Amino acid sequence: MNDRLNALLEKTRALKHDPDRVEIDWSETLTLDPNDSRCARAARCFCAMLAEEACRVRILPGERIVFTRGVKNLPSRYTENEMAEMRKTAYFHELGVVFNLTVDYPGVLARGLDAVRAEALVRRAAAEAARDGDGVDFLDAAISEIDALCELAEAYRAEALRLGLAEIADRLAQVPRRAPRTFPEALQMVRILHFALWCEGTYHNGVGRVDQYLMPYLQADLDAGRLTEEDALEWLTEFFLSFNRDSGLYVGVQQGDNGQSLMLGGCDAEGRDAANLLTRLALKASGELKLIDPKINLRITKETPLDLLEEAAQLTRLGLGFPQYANDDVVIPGLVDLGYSLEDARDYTVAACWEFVIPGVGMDIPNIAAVSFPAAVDSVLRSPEAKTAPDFSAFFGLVRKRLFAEADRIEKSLAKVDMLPCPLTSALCRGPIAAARDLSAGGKYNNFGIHGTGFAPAVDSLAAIRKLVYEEKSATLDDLVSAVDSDFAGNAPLLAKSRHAPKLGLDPEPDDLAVTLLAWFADSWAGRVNCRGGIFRAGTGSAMYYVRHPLEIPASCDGRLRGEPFPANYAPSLGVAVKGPISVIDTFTKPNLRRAVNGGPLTIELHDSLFRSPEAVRKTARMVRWFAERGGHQLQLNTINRDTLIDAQKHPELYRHLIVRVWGWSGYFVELDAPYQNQIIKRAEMLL
Amino acid sequence: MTAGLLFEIREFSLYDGPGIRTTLFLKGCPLRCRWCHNPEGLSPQPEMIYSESICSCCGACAAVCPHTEPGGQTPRVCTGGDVCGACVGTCPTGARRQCGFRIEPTDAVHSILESRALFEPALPGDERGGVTFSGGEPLLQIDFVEETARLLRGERIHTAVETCGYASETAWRRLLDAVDLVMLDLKHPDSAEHQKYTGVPNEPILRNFEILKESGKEYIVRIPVIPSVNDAPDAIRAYARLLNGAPGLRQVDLLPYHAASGGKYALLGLDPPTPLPERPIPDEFLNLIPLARKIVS
Repeated sequence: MNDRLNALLEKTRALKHDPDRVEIDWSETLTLDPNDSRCARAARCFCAMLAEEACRVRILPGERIVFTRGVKNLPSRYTENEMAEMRKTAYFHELGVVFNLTVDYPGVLARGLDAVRAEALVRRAAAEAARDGDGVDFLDAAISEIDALCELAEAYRAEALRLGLAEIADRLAQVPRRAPRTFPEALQMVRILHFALWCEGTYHNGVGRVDQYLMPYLQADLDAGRLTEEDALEWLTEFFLSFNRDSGLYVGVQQGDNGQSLMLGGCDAEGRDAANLLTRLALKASGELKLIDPKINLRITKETPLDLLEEAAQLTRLGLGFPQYANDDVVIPGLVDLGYSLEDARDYTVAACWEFVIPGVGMDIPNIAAVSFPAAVDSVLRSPEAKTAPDFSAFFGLVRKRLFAEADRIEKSLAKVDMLPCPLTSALCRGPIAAARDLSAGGKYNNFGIHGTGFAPAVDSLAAIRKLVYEEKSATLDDLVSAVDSDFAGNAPLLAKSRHAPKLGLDPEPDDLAVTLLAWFADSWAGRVNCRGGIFRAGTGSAMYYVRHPLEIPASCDGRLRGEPFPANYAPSLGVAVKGPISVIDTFTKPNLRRAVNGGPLTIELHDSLFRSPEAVRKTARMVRWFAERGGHQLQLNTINRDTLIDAQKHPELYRHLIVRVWGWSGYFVELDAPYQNQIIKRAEMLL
Repeated sequence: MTAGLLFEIREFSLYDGPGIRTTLFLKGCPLRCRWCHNPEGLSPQPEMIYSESICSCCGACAAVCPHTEPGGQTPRVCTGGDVCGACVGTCPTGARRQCGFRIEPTDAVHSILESRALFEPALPGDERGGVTFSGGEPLLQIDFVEETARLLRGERIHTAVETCGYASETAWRRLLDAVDLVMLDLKHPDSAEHQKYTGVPNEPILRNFEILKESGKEYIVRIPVIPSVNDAPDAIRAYARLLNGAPGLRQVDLLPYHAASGGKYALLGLDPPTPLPERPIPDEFLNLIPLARKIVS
């Protein structure tokens, strides 16, 4: 990185505590009309927000890609009471707005906002003629939001001119209204659109397949001699840096959980390998910055060239917790199985963490609910039917029944799902303008994704039950119930037996249980139609439920005590001393993961000393490709050192930049709440 | 019976020979190097590992221990002659673990095969990985090493050994026949000094080194560079005389000394060695021994 970028990096880091950023009391500046439609209200809030931003445009010294938030807080579209009233009539997921998607960056870049606006105007006339009030309402909102965004861009242009920054002003004379002509203009335009999404209140905004949609612009510049590869890397690095300007303002369960994920590599619409120069430059830029945003994902196959995987493994060596790898060989057929068109499936990206979605067209809610596998086992354990189960297979069959019952319950609880519109976000996707409907009314895909939490502890519990109750007959189901209810108090012998029972990833015995359990989980959701006309997708992700779900059950039969967390996502139970990454991959790729393409990575920790020599990078790359050969769906590697983490807890001021992989995203360790920190330390203990 | 006594099978091992390897750590060693980092490899018997910090003092171990009087104290380390392991399965916190397990060559090979795809070179220029016998000292269990290596050769898996070279000529020749690559440690060029710091003289090792040179086998020599023990100019010159021009020698790895290695001793109930002041490996090694390279570890 050159001096300019280094200086910019420092300034960007300082923005976290930026005194010039204001918090606005919207009750004084914004009056909401009770008669406004949902779309109108969205537009009113967005336009008010951008008007405030326009009063606070600022360009940091040395910056070439502009747009930085000047206002901390968005106006609330509804009061808490109003929101509570709405939630009585339907289920609103999380904050209740359209979110967790990637807009159609390539399509919007190809046309420019003027063309999008023109299309909306034409469609509005048709809607008006057809007396489609809802259509007019949505399109009016979208148009006014596009106008507000173009006005803000104009304000930035004026500021650039005032500061004598002619090149910035020139770019803003082109974008976002007209299609970018160069790579720098394209980057500026993506920055503006991404910025706008957050201002509209949509969140977990993915950036999609940047190497694919930006490459034509870069190629044109390279061909014309306007840029060198080195210039391109500098531009891309500054572009990546821009994702860290406002990230402190973004909503998430934890700091860093903001969904600014992008996808590299993969194939084109015909299925040909489409990794390109930008794929490699992006990996390099991310490695130079060493920041948590944007979060890098890389699509691979069993044929991905090893040198590309090596460049990716360099980031693992740096301890960034990414790239996260997704295996096209499994994910694409898995999405097609679920009803996605082959062309769309080939274009997949991740929504925020690891949920596979289609950019530009999807309105999936990939994290709408989560099933706790250990809770299912726990409820079977104490059921009257279990007592009469003649053998383990009958007992295990009850777990299948339980998973189906849980699916019934969740499906019922989602009988009416509503969401608040985001007209600008919608206008930036393919379909909503033509349909004259906001995405909240539905997109091309409206599927619901279901996480599965605590997979390994559930399998381990089942393995313990099989061994102790049905094989050795050294304990009864009642013994286990009273043991887990009393947190094994006074029952050290049973705790010892539970802990010494076979464990997934260490011993071979539980493997068949894992294969069956995951298949049943997929079965329990297959064929169901959700209330928005989509289907349900099963996944192996845990999101933050690996910390929450354990609190809903007492101890468990695998010897996990009350309150101890589950592993994140798809990984061996905490405290299991596995032999290493190879046997873990071997075990965890045995289940049919093509049926779990809601996503959720196999998560493996590596001790940082592994990377003491450069050749470890190539060997890690080899291991990643073997993961693809084995039919894994998604993988994240986390390079950590327990001693460092413990020291960071004691002296956070010395470790501000220490990055760890949390559950599907990389964050700064010292910014995490204690339960998340402690869970990561537990993960690291097994590496000693 | 050719079962081996191992204390670990480590997969995705990147620093025990070429390529990606699985390393078998064999238990038992004839040397007592003062800087030893693997004290669990010293005793040729299973041992108990006891982590006081996680012990809940529940007494379950004492209750089943044949070496403890009824009502006696929880034993810190196993006081019996042979470790029976009876207490391990009763320990609810995992504070008591057995270090050392017996495994037959066929089972060892079976557990290695899942990694075999990673042993293959990814590209034509890459080094082939495989299996490394380490320890402890593999020569003490030559029957197991020979049989396991034979089975691995049948599977076309590359084998290597990390050895101190202290063994009878017969055992040494069997080892050379069994494995593809030898990594021989030369701890000190002078026999009296060798005796002083490792407990044994180096004549048998140097004799075996001569056999290795004549064998036509490719090998690597490794020197643990220990401050004030073997890093003085005289010692370096002696190493150079031993090594320069040695036929079959592929490279000389200089391994740095790390003072922080005492933790494992306490778990075994042993006294840790006195740490030596760390200092960089002298460049004279590189100047005098053309095939030498410093290893980062």
